[in-house]
Amino acid sequence: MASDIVISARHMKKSFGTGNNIQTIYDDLNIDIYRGDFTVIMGASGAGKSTLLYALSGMDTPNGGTIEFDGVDITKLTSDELAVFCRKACGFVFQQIYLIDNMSLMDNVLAAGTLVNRSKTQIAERANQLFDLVNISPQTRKNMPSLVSGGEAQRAGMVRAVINEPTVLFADEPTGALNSANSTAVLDVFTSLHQQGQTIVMVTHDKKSALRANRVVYVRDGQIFGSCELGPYREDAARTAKFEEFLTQMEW
Amino acid sequence: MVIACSGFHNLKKAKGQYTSFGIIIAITACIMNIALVLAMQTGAAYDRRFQELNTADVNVIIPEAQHTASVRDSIAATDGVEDMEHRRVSLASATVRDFAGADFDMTTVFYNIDDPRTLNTLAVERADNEQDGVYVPEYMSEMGGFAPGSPITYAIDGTEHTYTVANTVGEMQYGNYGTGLIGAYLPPDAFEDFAARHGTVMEYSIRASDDADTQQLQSDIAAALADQGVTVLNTSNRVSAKQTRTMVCTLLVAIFLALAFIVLAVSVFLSNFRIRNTIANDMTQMGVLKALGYTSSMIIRSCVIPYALVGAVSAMVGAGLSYAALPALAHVLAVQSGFSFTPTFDPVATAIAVLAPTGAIVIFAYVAARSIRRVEPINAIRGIRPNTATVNHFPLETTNMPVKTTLLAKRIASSAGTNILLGAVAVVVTLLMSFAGVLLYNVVIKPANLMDTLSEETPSVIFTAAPGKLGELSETLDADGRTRTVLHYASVPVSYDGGNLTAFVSEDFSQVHNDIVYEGRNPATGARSRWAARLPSNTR
Repeated sequence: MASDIVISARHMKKSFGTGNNIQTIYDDLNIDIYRGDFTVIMGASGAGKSTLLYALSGMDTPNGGTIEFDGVDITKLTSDELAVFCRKACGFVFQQIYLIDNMSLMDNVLAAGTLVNRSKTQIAERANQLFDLVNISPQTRKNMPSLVSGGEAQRAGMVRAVINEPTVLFADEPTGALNSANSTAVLDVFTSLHQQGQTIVMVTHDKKSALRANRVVYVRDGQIFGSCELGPYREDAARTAKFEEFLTQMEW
Repeated sequence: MVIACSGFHNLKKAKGQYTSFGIIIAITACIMNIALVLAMQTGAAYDRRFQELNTADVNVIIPEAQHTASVRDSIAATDGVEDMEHRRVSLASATVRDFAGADFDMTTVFYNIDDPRTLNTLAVERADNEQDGVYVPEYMSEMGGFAPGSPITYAIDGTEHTYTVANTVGEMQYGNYGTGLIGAYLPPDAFEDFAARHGTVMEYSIRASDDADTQQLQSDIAAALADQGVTVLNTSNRVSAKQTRTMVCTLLVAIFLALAFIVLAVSVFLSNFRIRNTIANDMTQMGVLKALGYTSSMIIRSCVIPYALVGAVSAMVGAGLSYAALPALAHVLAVQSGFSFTPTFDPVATAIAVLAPTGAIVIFAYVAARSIRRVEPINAIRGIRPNTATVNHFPLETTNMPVKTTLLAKRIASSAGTNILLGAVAVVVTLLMSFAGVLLYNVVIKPANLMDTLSEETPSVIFTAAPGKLGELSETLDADGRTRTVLHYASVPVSYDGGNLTAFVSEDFSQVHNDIVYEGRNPATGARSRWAARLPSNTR
């Protein structure tokens, strides 16, 4: 585990609703994300896992507190400043994938890639390397999202997320809509990226997915209820047992 | 580049929608360009032609017997007169036979075409064999159908003069029916023959100095002549003639501009509506784009670019197509005005016709797309729409209505704003359609309704009686069981300060049914008066 902090949230508050109908998700939450870590956020349904993920990435604005991302307090940024900041700092993988339906897989990736000031050749070269990494054939890259499988679309979504070599890759239930085979393929990509040094923050309620992380944090009652260091991913019964024990402690 | 691509993808995504939008914009630009080209070129072409032919600013016709050196000096001494000349002409109330298939009453000035002219010069190509010929203005040849070589008959004081149309004359002094006078240009022998039968009068053509007010000059000359006891038989000025001759063109320009504005307003409304729909439908994708690092303005541009692109290209196509329609339209105007010109490419008009609709589309598309700024990526991705319902109207649990009705009521209440907008649009469209339908019925199917309402009962048939045959015609008509009303009248040219018109004179106006009554206070006497409409016959 690397020691330097890439994201640091302090006294974060988040609530929804207005008037008498306010639902508080977080009241005074503190969390650090470390560079090079594969951090998984777990918790019961409605605990605010995704809310935390999107707040850490700047996509959602907390009602209070600070979030320092690479030394920048992203809660102070305007919408457009945040958009520009996120081009290089954040990559997103969504559960529903959300590829733009009137662009091919390659165009979806290039549309994100060209936001960062690089030549088109460089971007295409990196896109092809990443497509090779996620095992999407050159022919499939030219297909429209509606013509590829869910697994292929999600892997293309991952390529889009990392095309700009983001500081942190955020993933919200990336295997939630995939079958077992496709889930494994996608998780393998996450592991591979992590092994290459990519910082990843992922929300999941799937134990198999969570085991890919080296650190698991558990959200409950608007707080980080607990966290568990699992070390680098490997098929190891002792590591799995440690994780299971952690979940039991968290009353999952 | 990415924005352009994204815009292009949007374009590809809704080809049909953009095609219909493009057609509307092309029509707008086409109509607008026609109106602007006509507005910018007609007046200028008229003035250019006016200069080419050195047309007089004021024309006055007086009896030949009153043409004296003193009168001439009096006109020349009037302030604003720069140049003048006079010529013998013959003035006659003529009926032109078979003018566009009917008899056409027009006060006509007959000229000797060989009279030397420095003012009111003519653009004419002389025919080889013109002995029995007459040169007619464009209005006569185009509107009346008197092409060179065709016969033309003038009925004057019971005598019919038939000539062969030798050629068409380009002139700017008279023009069309609206100017009240029209010219006919005879070879010298024919003119002298005509003059011997119908007499001659004297026409003064006057050129005003550059700083003179033409209409004021006309009044001053008329006053000077009146002081000398000279009867002014007719007077005209170029400003009134131009207004009269270009009236239809001006009207057409106004109608076209109004039409273009209406079509543009509809297309703007459509683009606005479609952009709002697109934003609602593509909310998630916009959220994803924002999450990827696209700024609001980049996404807005990707929405506006297709409309700007389609608008600009369509407007260019429409403006280009208008040049195909302009010659035909110019011909129609030439027929009614007696003045022809060829519209040419007008960069200013075309630029306005392209930029105005495109600019309007861009502005309104931008205003509509600005709501993208309010799209929160997180909400968009989670499927939370802005302005989503916060109130549960008509709860099924407590509403005492059938479920289907309650669901319907829920749906209506949840989109009250949209329903109000649709209702307002429906009301406006229904109003316009009703208006258009009623107008169409009254113009096309039963035009008498409109004509009768506007002024007076419209005659079904008009007869021009041969001299001495009026009594016989009257008896025949009265005896015909299909005749409801007969009005006998004579057409008389009337001059007034600043213009001429044709008046109807009848011994018995009781047969006329006018529907318009003007009431007001006479500014001179203060007495209240009624004028011109359905007055009792004994007050005529």
